[in-house]
Amino acid sequence: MQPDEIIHQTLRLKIMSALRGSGDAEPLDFTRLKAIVEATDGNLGSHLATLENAGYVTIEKDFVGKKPRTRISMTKAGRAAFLRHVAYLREVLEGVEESA
Amino acid sequence: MNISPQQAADALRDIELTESHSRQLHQYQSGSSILFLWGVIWMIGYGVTGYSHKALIWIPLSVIGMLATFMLSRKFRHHYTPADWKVRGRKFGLSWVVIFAFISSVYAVMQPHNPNVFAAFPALMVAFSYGIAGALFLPRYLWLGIAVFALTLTGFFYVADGYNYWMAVVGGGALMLGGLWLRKA
Repeated sequence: MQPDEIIHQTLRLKIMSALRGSGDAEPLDFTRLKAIVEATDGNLGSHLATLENAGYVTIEKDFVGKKPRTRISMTKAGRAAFLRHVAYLREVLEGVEESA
Repeated sequence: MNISPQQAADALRDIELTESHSRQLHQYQSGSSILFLWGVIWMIGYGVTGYSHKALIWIPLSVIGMLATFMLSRKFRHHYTPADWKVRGRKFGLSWVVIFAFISSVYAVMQPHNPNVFAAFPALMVAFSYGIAGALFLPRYLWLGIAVFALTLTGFFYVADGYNYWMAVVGGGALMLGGLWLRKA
């Protein structure tokens, strides 16, 4: 098993974890996501673009009245990649525990 | 790319913390509509009871509240498989039967003569449930439980004559404000 280099970056790992915590397919508001992962607008935006290019998240932009709204959801591919990465991390830890 | 055991442990801890924080906020969001709904139900129920001195309004209101609560909790549906969701639905229905049976049994055994006791007891049950949920899982519910306890008891001991109106405005209003507070979490 190999680590997922896109997901493993600290902020992207938090983004994927936050999306998973709010219920995989349920869109998460940009503002709420920013508060959960404690990132700046620019930083979060650039890492979301990386995840979107990898096909791990989708970003929807619309308006609620006159107010712009950005919502992010995890794709099926993103969920699968995230679970694979978590399994890899557990494997690394278990390997150490077994050899100890 | 090589990940050391220490890095793996740190990453897993970050995942756990972020997931649980996100899940908690999601639960507050979903709970906010349910709390607001019950605030409206309290306003109507206690208001009508105070005006007519008849408590029968609580039967249809409780059924409507229970069904609406179940519909609103469908937001969590994607967390479960369809089979698990069915089981949860049955457990949800059963837990309401237990709550009604418990409240009716207490009334039957204690036989209260003061109508305010009939009004206060379900509210204290709600406060108790929120307090336990808050102490064990979601801290904001603990504050809600404390607020409902305090308002219910304050009304019971100091506003005896207009107690139902007190519970309609202050109790129902507190639940509605609590719902908005959870939404802001």
